This record gives sequence, structure tokens and C-alpha cells, in this order.
Amino acid sequence: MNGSAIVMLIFASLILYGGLGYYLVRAARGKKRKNSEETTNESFGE
Amino acid sequence: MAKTRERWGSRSSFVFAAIGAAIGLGNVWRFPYITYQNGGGAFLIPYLIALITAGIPLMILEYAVGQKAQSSPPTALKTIWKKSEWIGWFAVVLVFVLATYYATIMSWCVNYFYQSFTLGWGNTPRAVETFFNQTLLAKSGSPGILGGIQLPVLIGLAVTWLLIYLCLFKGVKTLGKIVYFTVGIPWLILIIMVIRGLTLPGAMEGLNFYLTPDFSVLLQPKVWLAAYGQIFFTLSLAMGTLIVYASYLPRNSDITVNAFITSLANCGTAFLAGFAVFSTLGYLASAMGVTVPEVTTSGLGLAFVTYPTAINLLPVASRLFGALFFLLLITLGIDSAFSQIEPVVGSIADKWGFNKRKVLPLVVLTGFIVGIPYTTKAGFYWVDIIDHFVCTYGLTLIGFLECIVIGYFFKASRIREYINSVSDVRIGPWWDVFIKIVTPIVLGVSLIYELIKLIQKGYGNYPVWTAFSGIGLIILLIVLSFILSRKRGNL
Repeated sequence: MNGSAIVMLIFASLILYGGLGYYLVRAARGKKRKNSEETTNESFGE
Repeated sequence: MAKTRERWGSRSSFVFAAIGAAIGLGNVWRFPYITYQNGGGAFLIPYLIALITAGIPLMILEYAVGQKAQSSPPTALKTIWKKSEWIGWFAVVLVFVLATYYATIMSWCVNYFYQSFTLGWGNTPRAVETFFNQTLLAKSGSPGILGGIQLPVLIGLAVTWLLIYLCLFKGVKTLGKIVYFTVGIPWLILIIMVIRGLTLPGAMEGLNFYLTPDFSVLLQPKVWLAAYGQIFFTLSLAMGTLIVYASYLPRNSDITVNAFITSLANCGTAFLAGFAVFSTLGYLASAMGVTVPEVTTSGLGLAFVTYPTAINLLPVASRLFGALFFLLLITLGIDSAFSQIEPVVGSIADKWGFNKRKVLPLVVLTGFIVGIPYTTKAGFYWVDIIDHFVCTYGLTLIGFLECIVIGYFFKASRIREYINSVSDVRIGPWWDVFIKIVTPIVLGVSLIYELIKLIQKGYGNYPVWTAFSGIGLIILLIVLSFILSRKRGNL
């Protein structure tokens, strides 16, 4: 593979897979929310 | 009395389901080719900008609408602005039409999967082409000549709809377990195919065509439109799927992080698929003694002609890799297919208070019957024509209307407040700008550009009346959406 193709490979990989890894860690460390049962039909408050 | 809503078993079930809905056949056969066609590695720049400025903001919006309203697209949009219920129905009826021809493409994949055990598509490039065009589809030569039904395609269609039914009939909790397989299996196969592809002679030459940047294309508006178009279609936006999936989450669930994970996983998968495709194309070119552009195709041609040709030429285990490739397509496609049916079932159940288990078989049966014309000898042409009009005009129009309704009639800042109140990562006023200005402008320009192109050149090499049929279908679906929104429900 030529040099410029490798640069683009690294650039896209850093954003896509780096970003994915970052947000997966954020999700793992995020607040634990109860998967509770709720009722429907709440309006948006208009 | 207020009803108790179904729930995903866990957050990861929802994320996997949303990733499964987004990752589809287009990730394998469309993204790599569009990248190659629009400046190679340089295309990744507008693609990533489109992801950040339109894809992720719109996904956050759809998650927020579904989760806050705890309802399917029509009723969810109605809670935002009473007069916008029809937009939700438009998304639902459009995605149903989409599902009917998508299931037909899945049927072709099912047939190829069956044939892969004997490499039944023939040994030479000419034989592979003949198998697809004559043996399987028996193309009639014109969309106006339907010819008879192709039995193998009809059987494949029945198998596909049966699979969709089996995945959905137990409800969201079971679906949340199925998606671990329908997302996990294609990832595993894709990694195997990338490793296999990279170890073939000529692979690096193929990857050079995929990733070598030509930065001069960045000055061309059509490249930016292609990038925004690709992002818009790949993330399953404007189909109602993300709204209905998010409605099965509790109201206090995180939105922002889920949207980033879903969209980055989808685009990461498409990027990875490019390595499997172009390394194999590089090998095919090297084996046939031609250049990579001569063997490079996209869409149906890539999946059903070029790739089987490359599989034939593999030095070892060609049957295994043939089966793996079509299993990849089936598993990639099936979660997209059932994600197209869930908004239809959910919307009918939510509006009229029906039991989803009773609605599902009717929707599946109707989908199968509506899909039968695609199994005729003119089916290939109609899949192509309807796909063009549904995606290019229908989905773009829905995305545009969603942004206008949320951005201006409801006010983007109000829904942003809700998003920030439940999310670990806060979004700033930039989101309002993307929803109110950037995304609608891009979608509006794209819509006008495509309409001008249609008026000037028509679509493909088809007769003019097919373009009228396509536009007529979109108008008919809009009228149907208005009628459905006027019907009294049990909301």
C-alpha cells in the first residue's frame, strides 16, 4: 500500500475505531439506569 | 388506562439492535465503491464531516423523539406537533415498501447461499453473469414485461419473510437476544474475509484503489452530496426504525452516547468491509490479468457477479468462502429487514391499541404478497426503480420534514434540554444549528438536485413511464399517510 493510502487508513481508523472505543468506555462508566417499566403517552409538554 | 410498554432486556440489546438496523447490505456493496469513485481516501473527509454534522445529530434527534414519546413514529410525532402525524405515517408506509423489495434482494442472497455449497453459479465470469441474469432472475428485458414468477426467488422470498416473522414474533426482549447473533456473526465473518483477502496476491493493489486520496475532488459539490447521501442512508435514518427502537427504552436512558456508538460502529463496519471487498477485487484483477477499475463494480453487480467470480478463483476453500460471503449478506440483511417491519407493526399497535402479536402475521403476509411482483422476470428492474424513488426522494423528504418540525415547530433547544437531562455526554447549541440549518439545507439541496437530474435525464435507461410510476408511488404514499393520520385511533 502506498504512503498516502496508509495515512488515510490511520486517519479514518483513529476517528472511527478510536471514537467507538472512547464512547464504549463512556457507556461502561456511565450512570447505571434501571430498565424500568413505564407507562406510555406522555406528551412533549406543548 | 395507560399501557405498559415493552422494554429491551438491556442497554446493549438496544445498541446492538440499532447497529443491526444500520448495518446492512449497503455497508458491503455501496460504501467501498462510493469511496473509490469519489476520490478514494479523500472521500473519508466529507464522509466523516457528514457523519458529525448530519448523521449523528439526526440519530440523536430520532432517539430522543422515540424515547421521550414512548411511542412509534406517527404517535410520537403527533405528541410534538399535532399536524405532523402524517410524516410519521409517511415514514412507516415508505419503510414497508422498502421492506418488500429488500426482502427480494435477501431472497437472491438465500439462493446464492444455497448455490455456494456447489459453486452452482458456474466457473467462468461469463457463466456467473449468465447464472444471475438468466438462470436466477430470467430478466425479461423491460420493466413492462413481467413474464412469469421465478420459483427459486419466490421460495427465497418466503424463507426471508419467515425469518423476519420468527425474529419478531416473541417481542422486543427476545429480539434483543437475536441481534447479538445477527450483528456478531457478520462482524466475525467480515474479519475472516478481511484476513483472507489481505493474504491474497494483488490485495495491496486493490487497497491502493480504495484508499489513495485524490484531494482535488473535495472541491466538487457532488462528492459532498454523495458523502451526505451515504451517511443518511447507511444509518437507517428517517425510516422510523430508530424512533420505534428508542421507544422501548425507559425515558431516562442515555441518548447521546448510544447515538455515537451506533453510528461509529456502523461506519467502522463499512470501512472494514472496504478492505474485504477491495483486497478481493485486487486479487481478481491480478488473477484475470486486468486492472482493478476493470473489475470494480458496486451494488448487485458486485455481490452477485463480481464477488462469486472472485470466489471461483480462490486457490483453496472457495466453497467455504462462498458460503461465508452469502451468510454475511444474509445476516447483515436480516436485522435490517426486521427493523423495517417493527415500525409498521409498532405504529399500527400504538395507534389502534392492537396486540402486536396479532398485527405481525398480517403485516408479514401482506409484505410477502406485495413482494411477489419482484419475483417475476421484471423483478430486477422494479427493485432498482422503486429503490431509487423510495431512497432518493422519499427518505430524503422525511429527513427534511423531521428537521423542520423538530427544529422550528417544537424548537430544537427544548428537545436538547431533555437529551442533556438524561445523557452522560451533553450536547451544545451546535446541535440546534445542525438540526435547524445544516441538515435541512443539505437534504433540501440533494432533493432539488435529484429532481432536476430526473427531469433532465430520467432514471437509468428505463422508459419515461417508469419515472412517473416512481413519483406516482411517492405521491400515493403521501396521500395514504394523510388518510391514516386522519383515522381515529385509541391514542
